Amino acid sequence: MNEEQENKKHNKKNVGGKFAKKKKLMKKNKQFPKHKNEKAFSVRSSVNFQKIAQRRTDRIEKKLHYPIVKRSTDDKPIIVGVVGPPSTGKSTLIRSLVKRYTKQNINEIKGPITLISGKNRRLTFFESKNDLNSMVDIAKIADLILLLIDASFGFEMETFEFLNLLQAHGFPRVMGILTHLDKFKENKTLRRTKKILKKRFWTEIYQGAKLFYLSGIIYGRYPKREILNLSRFISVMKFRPLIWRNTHPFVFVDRFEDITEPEEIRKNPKGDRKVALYGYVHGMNFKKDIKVHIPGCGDFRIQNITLLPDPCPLPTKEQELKRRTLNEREKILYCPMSNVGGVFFDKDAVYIDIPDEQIRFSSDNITDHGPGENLKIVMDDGRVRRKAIFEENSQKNNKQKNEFVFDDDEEDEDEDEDEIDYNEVYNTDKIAAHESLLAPNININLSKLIYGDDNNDHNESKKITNLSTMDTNKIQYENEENSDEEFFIPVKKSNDSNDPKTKLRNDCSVFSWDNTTDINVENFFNQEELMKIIRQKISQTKIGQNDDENENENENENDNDNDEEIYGDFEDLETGETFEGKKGNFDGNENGNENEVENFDENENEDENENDYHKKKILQKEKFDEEYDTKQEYEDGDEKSHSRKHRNDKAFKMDEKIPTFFGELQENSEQQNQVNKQEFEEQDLQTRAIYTGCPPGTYVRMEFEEIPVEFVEYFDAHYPIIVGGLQSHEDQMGFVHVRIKRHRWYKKILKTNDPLIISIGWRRFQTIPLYFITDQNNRQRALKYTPEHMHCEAFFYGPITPQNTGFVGFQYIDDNLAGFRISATGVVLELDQSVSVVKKLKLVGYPFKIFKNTAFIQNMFSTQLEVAKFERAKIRTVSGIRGQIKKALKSPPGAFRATFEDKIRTSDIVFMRTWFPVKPFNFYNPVTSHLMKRKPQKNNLEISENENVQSPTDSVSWQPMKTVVQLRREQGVGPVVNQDSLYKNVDRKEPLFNSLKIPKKLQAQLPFELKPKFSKIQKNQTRAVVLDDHEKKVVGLVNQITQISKDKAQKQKQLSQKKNIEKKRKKDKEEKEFALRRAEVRHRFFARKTAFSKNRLNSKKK
Amino acid sequence: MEIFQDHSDFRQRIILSTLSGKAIKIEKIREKDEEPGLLDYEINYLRLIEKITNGCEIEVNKTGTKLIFKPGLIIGGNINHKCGKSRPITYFLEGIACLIPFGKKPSTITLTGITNAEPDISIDTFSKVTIENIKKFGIGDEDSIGGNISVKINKRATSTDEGEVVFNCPIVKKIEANSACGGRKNHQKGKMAGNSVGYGVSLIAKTNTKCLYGIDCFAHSGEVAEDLGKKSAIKILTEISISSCVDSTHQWIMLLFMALCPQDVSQIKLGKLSPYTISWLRGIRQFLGVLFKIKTDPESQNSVFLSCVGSGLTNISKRNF
Repeated sequence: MNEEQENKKHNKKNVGGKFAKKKKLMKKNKQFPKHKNEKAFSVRSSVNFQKIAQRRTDRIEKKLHYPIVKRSTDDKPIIVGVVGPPSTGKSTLIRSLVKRYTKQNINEIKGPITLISGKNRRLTFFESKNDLNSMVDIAKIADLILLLIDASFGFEMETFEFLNLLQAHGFPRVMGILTHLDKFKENKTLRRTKKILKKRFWTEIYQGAKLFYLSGIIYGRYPKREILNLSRFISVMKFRPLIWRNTHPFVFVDRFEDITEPEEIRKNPKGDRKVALYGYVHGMNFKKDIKVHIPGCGDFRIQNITLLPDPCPLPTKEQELKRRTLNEREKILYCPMSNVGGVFFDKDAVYIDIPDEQIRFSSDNITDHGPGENLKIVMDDGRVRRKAIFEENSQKNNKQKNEFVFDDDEEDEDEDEDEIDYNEVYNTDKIAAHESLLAPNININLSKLIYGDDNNDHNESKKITNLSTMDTNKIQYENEENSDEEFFIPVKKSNDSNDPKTKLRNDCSVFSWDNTTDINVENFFNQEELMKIIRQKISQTKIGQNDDENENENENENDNDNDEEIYGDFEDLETGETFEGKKGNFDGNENGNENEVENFDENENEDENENDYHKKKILQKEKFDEEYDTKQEYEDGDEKSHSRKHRNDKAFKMDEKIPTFFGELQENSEQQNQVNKQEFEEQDLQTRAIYTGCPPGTYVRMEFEEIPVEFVEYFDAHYPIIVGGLQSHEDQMGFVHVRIKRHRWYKKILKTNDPLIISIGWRRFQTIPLYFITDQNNRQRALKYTPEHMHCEAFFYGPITPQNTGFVGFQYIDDNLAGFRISATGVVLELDQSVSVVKKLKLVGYPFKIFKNTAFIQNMFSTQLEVAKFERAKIRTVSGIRGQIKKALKSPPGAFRATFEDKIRTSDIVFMRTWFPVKPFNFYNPVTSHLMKRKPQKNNLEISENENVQSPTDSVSWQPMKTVVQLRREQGVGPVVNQDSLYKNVDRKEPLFNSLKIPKKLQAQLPFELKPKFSKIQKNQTRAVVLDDHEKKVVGLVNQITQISKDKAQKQKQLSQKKNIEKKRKKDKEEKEFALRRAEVRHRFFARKTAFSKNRLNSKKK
Repeated sequence: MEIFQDHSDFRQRIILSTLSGKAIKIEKIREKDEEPGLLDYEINYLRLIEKITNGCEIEVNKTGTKLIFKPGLIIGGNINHKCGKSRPITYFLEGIACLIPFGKKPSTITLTGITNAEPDISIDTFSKVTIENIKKFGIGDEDSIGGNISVKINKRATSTDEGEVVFNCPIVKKIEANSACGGRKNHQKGKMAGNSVGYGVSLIAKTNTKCLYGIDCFAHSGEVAEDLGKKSAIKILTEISISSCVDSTHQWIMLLFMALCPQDVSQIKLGKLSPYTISWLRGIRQFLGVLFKIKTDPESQNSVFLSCVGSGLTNISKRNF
């Protein structure tokens, strides 16, 4: 289903009228015509042409990238992660690919599968589980991701989550694979779905990202043709170095052994274990001394690292390399955890099944010693099993090594004889020791003296070497053991330091001359040989090309046997007695007889001017040459190029010739690469490993001590195990300053002081971030929540990780979450040990006495001391009147005098805006997913059986620290309510206003209009009414009638109320009865139904 | 944590600890001496380190015979420090020159104290030779932030602590691997350089391959100027006679920077290794895990080639935007 567009090729015409014409022309001009109309292709508009040229160069420039030095070689296995939601066909794909490459079948896919895919390419396949921890780990190490998508279902959340993980951890190459295409019945829907999925996939990765289509399964595998196409794409894939992997070594573990002494396990079954991990080195050189992090387990120090012979080597023989395809025998498959290919890996042994016909039995016992491995033959059920036992002796030397570096030697003095075995001491690795014996003698001596045997130094501590005595005979240290003593001076013992002079000398970079120069001043110039050397050194330069430059510079304040006077004056020293080789017509041959002494009295300034002039001249000439040469090349190129394509090529050519910025960069990095390669070229791999560490692509075995027992007990090969190397500082803790953004698909915003699980570098851990935003004046203001659609910054406590490292944050990592689990993404900006985030704090006070512009404020502080700290601070009232704190009052405590720009009122509230520092919590909780019991796998009970643990059902997933919301929800507690924050009805008192009183004097002056009017009509004034008899009667009657009708109405109301209650009671009763009846009916109905189905079942069984 | 049992190489341990981030513990510091414990200049140096770093923890017991040092991140910035009388300023300058290029911000450090005195190198040698050597690793070039690396001598003092030196240092993201200083032959010129007001001589020699040698000679009481001259001549000639890229005083700083490079090969040709250098080689291996490959020079008998793959240290203090 590979959709590579193939265009039909152009066929040249060899017949017809056009051809005849052309032929004719060709005969005439003796060459094939380029164009029919030459003028049409010339430059018509210079402006346009300039634009085109500009555009062309712009495009070329745009293509350039800052060259990244590739630290790892190409022959390391490429890690191919097969990722996708469950039942999308991951295992089937791996099986199909393995079958395609090696013609072998794999039943159960467990752990990484390494195989040889071509003459110079190895692949390591790994099937990732759907759990988030595995996905994170595989995203960090894979070079190529095969992302499986069930086309019949469409995209699933996991796919997008995984793509986001990839993005944060440095996007490796991704190839999408659509499976389950056979479920589409109609061709049209299939095509439409393909198109939709492709479009979405492209927007997520990049336009034109490769998407494969795998139609149905044949014999449990994908169709051969399609797999072949896929494998071809994999084999030509190119990879760009990713920054994290380019700066950190790592090992993708494909084999695991528990090498703890059985006796120790018996004594302490829950004690820490000793474990050996095997795998290919990736990234960059893996050094022995670095700290490592095993994601899901913790930080460890490598006890021992050994290079092992490659279990899956690339073909190296010449004849093999000549061949196009791989030999069947070279198609090796290596997957120790999956038990394939007759190789069975036990905890402490390797069993290899070899068919009887392939073995030639000899009478002797076969004792084949591979490097580091000891092979035995064990007969078992008629099959030959060869047990490979790895020797664990090598770590014995470890402790010795740590001792000899900087300890005080006095205590060890007696044991000197015991430790003289150089091979033991010099290098802990057996192999290294073996190799160093072969190395030239001199190398050993020097390295040994410096790094190796400190005891040696100590023995000769009394002998002090004299650097100033430059007797060359004495310095001959090659091949002479004794000379070491003179060449190296041991570190002084602490007891010697009582002498004031030596005390002063302590920790000083200057070599101590004092002891020696006094003695040798007289003899120094008598040493013929030494003088010869010095003379050579100083005069040799004359032979070089820039003679002019050097000629006059040959001054030196050296004097010969004559012992000419040296003046105290410095000026004299400079131009005074000088020794120099023959001046003027100087030949290289005349080196020997240069004992003439001449007084050199030329003015120095003049010389220097002359020198400058010469230098300038030379520089100018060089510059001219350079320009001239490049110009010529340019012109040459121009003549040749005609077509557009050629022009482009030429532009590239120019790039090479003219030293551009980019060209220089490239050249420099290439040069450095060359040096890197050459320096250790002559050494073999194992010696090289001592200096550089194990290079990528080598197979290593690493020993670890103090591994938690759970790691061994709950080991499951379905989950990736990485040993990630850490650079210096990266095991330290500190505050990490990051730029962070809530993921737009995550439904909530994130809250300060809510824990967040962060995946950064090699690590996964939970921490508590403090979100903040940087104000314009660079104030880092704390935020309660992350902004909804904006970046903000955050500080969290965690391991130090280099700047520009991306990370992802999760709030939950459970598998059974419906929503999108990635809650935030971001990048590291800075690392620090302190935090300067602040939050706003408003201190509130109330005035209790007000003068004109001064007021006494209370309740803002509680003591005089506090006030003293805030003197001169700015304050403000709610109405906006600004002021300043002046001085504390004696009473009440905490009250102070303040001045304002205007008179404030008693009802004003005075407040002061301050900034209060906030610190994030020092909380770091690594995700120890490898130390938890996993949910049981189908065929994965071997390990747990061996370890005698409880039934596999009691799996516990890693429990992170809970968020506040989670806890509240669990315990049924609502949020804490601050009574002060609640909105209540405001109970406002009616303001009392005093009546306006206008002084009479003022009243008199007012105009009439404004004068208070006294003719106010008085309200509420009741008048006494006197009724006559008739009126009285009428009023009385009316009153009676109203009273009667009122009573009537009330009675009526009471009656109807009573009636209503009665009615309601009746209705309730009826309803109750009805409900009862209905329930009974229902009960009867369902009872019948179940009885019926039971009967049916029973009858069926019968 | 690295544990040591003696007081030697104090600066080296603090420098390497700060660069590698490993905490150290030094025990038995001059335990049997008349004046036990840390000396005043060592304490002073620790104070300076505390000033240029953030989050470093220093714990000294009462007698001063035990020290626990947990390094922090290098910060830098504008710092004034009094160096005291017991050690010249260069002791402190040497001790921070290899740290502050890896700081958070470019530094301007003003140090007051003795400028030229025994036993350390003179301030002239530092500014003319040490700085030039450091520059070879790309510190102060166009990629580094904060201008050029320089030393400005405001005031000189040989016995009083009134001398004043301003050290400007930019920060770098990482330093460059350097193999350009390998195997050079011809020496060109011995030139007298600065002097320090009649108290001593600093001689600097420069080769045609831009290698620099510098030596210092300080006059002792009752010493004739002629003797001083002779002595200094002998010293510089001795340095010249060895085909090395740096003089014996600067071996350590070159090796340290080589070990701090990215994971590239750096090479250098040195003369005889001084004891101080050897202790550095050991320290570098212990803290940074960098082992030097040592090869003798087939042409010259008293020089060696050292090469190593850098530890890949990057400036983790620097802020990125």
